[in-house]
Amino acid sequence: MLAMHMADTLLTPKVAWGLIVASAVVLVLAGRRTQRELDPARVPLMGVLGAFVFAAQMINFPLPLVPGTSGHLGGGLLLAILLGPHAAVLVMASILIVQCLFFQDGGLLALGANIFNLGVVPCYVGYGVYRLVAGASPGPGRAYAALFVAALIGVTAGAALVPFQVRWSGLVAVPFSEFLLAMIGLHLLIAVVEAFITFGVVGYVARVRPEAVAAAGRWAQGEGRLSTRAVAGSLLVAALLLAGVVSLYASSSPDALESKLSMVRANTDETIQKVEGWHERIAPLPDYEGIAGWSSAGGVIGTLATLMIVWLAARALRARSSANPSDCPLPGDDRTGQTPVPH
Amino acid sequence: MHHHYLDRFAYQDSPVHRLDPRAKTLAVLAYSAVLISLPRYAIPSPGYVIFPFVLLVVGGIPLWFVLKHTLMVSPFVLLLVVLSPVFDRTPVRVGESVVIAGGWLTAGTVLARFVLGMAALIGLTSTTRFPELLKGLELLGLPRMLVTQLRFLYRYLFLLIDQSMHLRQAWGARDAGRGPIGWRWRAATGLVGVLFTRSLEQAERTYLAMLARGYDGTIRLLRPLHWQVRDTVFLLAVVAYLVFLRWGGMVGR
Repeated sequence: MLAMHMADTLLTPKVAWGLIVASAVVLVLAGRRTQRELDPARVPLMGVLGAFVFAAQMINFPLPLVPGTSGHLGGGLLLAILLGPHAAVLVMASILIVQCLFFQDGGLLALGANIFNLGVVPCYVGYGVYRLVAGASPGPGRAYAALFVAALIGVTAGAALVPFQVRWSGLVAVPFSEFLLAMIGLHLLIAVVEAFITFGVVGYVARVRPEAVAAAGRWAQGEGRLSTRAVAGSLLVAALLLAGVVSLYASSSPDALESKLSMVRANTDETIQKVEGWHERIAPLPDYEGIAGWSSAGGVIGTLATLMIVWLAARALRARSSANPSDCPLPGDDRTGQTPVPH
Repeated sequence: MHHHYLDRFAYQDSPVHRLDPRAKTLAVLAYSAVLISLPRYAIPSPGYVIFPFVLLVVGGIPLWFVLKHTLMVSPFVLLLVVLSPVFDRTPVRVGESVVIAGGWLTAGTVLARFVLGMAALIGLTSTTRFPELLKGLELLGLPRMLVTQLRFLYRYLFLLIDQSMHLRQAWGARDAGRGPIGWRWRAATGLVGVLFTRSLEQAERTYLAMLARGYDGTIRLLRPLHWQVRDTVFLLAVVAYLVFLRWGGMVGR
């Protein structure tokens, strides 16, 4: 989906070099582990899978809530589950390096930060959480739950590091708590998309090439299709988490604003006050202090968002069942294992 | 399918193209390091334009290409740049009597550094063939495993992007973006799955072909790199230029 690449101009040298060293250490260790453990046949496989992630990102998944938008596979979690975290982190690093060199995503010195946020954290944290929840040999239901939690934690944790890195650099002054909550909220949604796609792809591959996903465990022998209950359940969990973030966001606003206002009051510089006055004129809600119980508004908004999402999910599910998708089987999508008859 | 645009200009010939990839990589790295080491409110002086400009113009890279790439800047950076004047109200004196909020300076400097850094990076990647760039990175100490990984990634990237475009076209021809969303999602998931299985098959064929040609775990390249006098001269010139810019009293706004 939309990847939040860190740019090197947002970092100070201290932070940029620190993250380069951190990522380099992880990559060297992962490289050694991979070289020692890897079957030589998987050397080209890793490379081709890196190219696969690029190519797969061109296939768009329509998003239901906002028409016209679409998401795509991130790939870190899928690679970690299929290849193990060490090989996956190398593949993700190679993808990020190519993105940096050819699309100038972030810049050379931000590579450390980007490999850390989008490679190391999603691969290792995501894989760790997945293994923890899934256990040794999960069935489809448990595997899906594990994937969902792993995506939520892995993807969001990586993204949540971005505000910290920007703050440590101290170059761009954006209110920290708002930035952090915005990143977390946005990436909760991205994580849901990532979990759906990853589950679907592993399920599909398991049906057509079971030996390729042996590492993923027994669940791959299931049908690899999400029940409506699983979809509704995960959307609900995501909505609740999002409502929590929204209400946190609302309750944190007055504090940040308070400090900003007191800072401005302490500052008697005429020009600054003029700029501030101009800002207050154009701001939509200039007098936040006058609104009593602002933080409880977060709860209301959160609940409304949840209800909205549940309603939309229910509508989407109804639409799906009424269209009776089994009339139009996709290749390999049959439950009985027979070859579908082409229409 | 038209996607050979990645290092399209790298196969031209120019004095910049003929430089050793290591020299260019180190020069661009040093330039980026100096750019981000500037003090918080310092807007790079005009002298900073010289390095990327020379690299691009002597390298024969059309400036519209650079401009187009630069316009596709990260929306993330732009967002922070736009928000900066709103939140950073530290008074900063500019010139004799003008005082502005520091956020405006931050916005200006982040944007300027971003564009300059991108231009320099484009100057590196569009004048260096990717396999040679990788060889240079390997000799500069990038882990062997990662270099091998990048080599395979680059080799199969176009093949798989091509397949992805074909799949997408075929899907569009049959589905035309309609139908219930759950159904379209399953179709898209199936496409990614097909792409994945094709990748697996490609990797198997590749490995068999490698074995047939005597692969023993190391990859040997023709065209080894040769560091020449001009590379030393280029690198020293860039270092002198950067030292002069950064510490020669031209830090200012």
